[in-house]
Amino acid sequence: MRLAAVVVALAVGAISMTLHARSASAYPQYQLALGADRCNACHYSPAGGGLLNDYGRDEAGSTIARGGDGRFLHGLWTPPEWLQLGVDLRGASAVKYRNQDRELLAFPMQADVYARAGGPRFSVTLTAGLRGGARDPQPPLAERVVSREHYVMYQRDSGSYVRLGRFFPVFGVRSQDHTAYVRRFMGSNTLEEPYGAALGWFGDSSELHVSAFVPRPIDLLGSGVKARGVAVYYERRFMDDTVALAPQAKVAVAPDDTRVSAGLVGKRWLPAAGLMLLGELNVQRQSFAAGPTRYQLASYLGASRFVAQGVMVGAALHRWQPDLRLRSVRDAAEVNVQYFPNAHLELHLLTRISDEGDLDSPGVLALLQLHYFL
Amino acid sequence: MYVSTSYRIALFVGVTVMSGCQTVDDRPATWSYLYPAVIAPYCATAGCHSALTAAAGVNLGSREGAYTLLTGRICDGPRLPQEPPGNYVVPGSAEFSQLMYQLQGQAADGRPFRNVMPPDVPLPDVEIELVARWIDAGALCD
Repeated sequence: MRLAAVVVALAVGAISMTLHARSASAYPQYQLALGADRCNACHYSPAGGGLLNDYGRDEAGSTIARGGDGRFLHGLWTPPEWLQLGVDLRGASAVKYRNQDRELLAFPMQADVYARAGGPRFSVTLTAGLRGGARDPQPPLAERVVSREHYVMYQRDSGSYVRLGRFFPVFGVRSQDHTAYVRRFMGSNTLEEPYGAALGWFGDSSELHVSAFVPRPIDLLGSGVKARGVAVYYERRFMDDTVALAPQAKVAVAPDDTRVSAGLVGKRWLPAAGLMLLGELNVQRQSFAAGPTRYQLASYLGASRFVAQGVMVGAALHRWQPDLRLRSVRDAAEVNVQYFPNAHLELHLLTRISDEGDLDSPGVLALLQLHYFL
Repeated sequence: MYVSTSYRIALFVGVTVMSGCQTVDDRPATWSYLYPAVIAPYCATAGCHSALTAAAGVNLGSREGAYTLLTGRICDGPRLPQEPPGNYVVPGSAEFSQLMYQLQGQAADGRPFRNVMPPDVPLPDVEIELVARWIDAGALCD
């Protein structure tokens, strides 16, 4: 019964995406739809995410949200040219159904301050904040302080760069949702930023990122990652920048296992329909010091569109297969509604249904997230 | 160049998926396999039960430490004098091990069990069955 209700909700979401055919708007993660062909058109980080640059802040107010001044502190104070600042605050409430049991949650998700100092070539970036926790008991405040990213970077005018420090290697669709299976199981879960060095090259219609990573050099610096390895991501754009294909590969060697993964990220912007399609497929070979090697699969397929200025609707499918020989699968389907009433504010309703081995009693999650950034 | 690379990946995926005809789980129910195959990727993630975060005071960040915390035993050593915290694993009895209730979301008497783990993505059935086999075989540190 619950499965039927959620399937209907998914169908309504999908239909509403096609019925509200208006002129296309954009969203920062929609690099092709925005008219900007790469992530660092709006973000200081070459991988996207985190601190927005001036263009990204302008887009937040004029294109994505229903209005407002996207500048730091709503434009009340402008930092000196050598300093860029930002803040991300997220809180959420959720209800989960599983095995006929209901769980209600309300929790802080993110409280991060971003600082970037330097010029167009040399820069130092720091992200510091409190890690969130959905369940009690919460650790003392001092133990929740964390710096997810801190790195130094040298960039050329073309955007090509070298950076050194703590950051996620460029890999995958890089959704903000860390529970997406392609993030959760491919080494990009929350707080899993490793330390490393990266090189990036940007051409007119392509980009290449090579990242070498290691565990934390000293305990004080955080990061729970144990593996060392290399990630390679090469993206090429076609058809007047409406299609992007990115083969990717990663090797991660940990004390107890070695993972070698290969995958493909695809993006398709359909201007006439105002529809953005995103997909990722990874196959991972995991070998163990004591046990048989196994092959795993993690995939993501999503579509989204702005149905009105400041309102984005999307749907996505997730799949995780921990061992392809054994046919054990975890699937999930979700509908997202995101409302941007102001350049600094986002309300995000996520509804996800996940197969938990019994299709008559799936897991259901409804999560309402409030996101405010400066 | 692109088509060629994509084609190779698609072919690799297709062949791998299509060859998935074996349904018997012949993986070893040993701790040296179970830890990197199940406990580390699903439980000891950086934001949960890693040494860094140790959510709810549970640190599964190392193979030896996780074994001690779950079973109350030291790898290749004697049983600890006190009860293991949480009574997670009753060696030889998956049916009465709290760890199984948490993974399955169901207690031995069939009632729903709160605080299901992992909270974000439920553990695939084959992984739960592997944990059960390990417990039923004595939960050894082998």
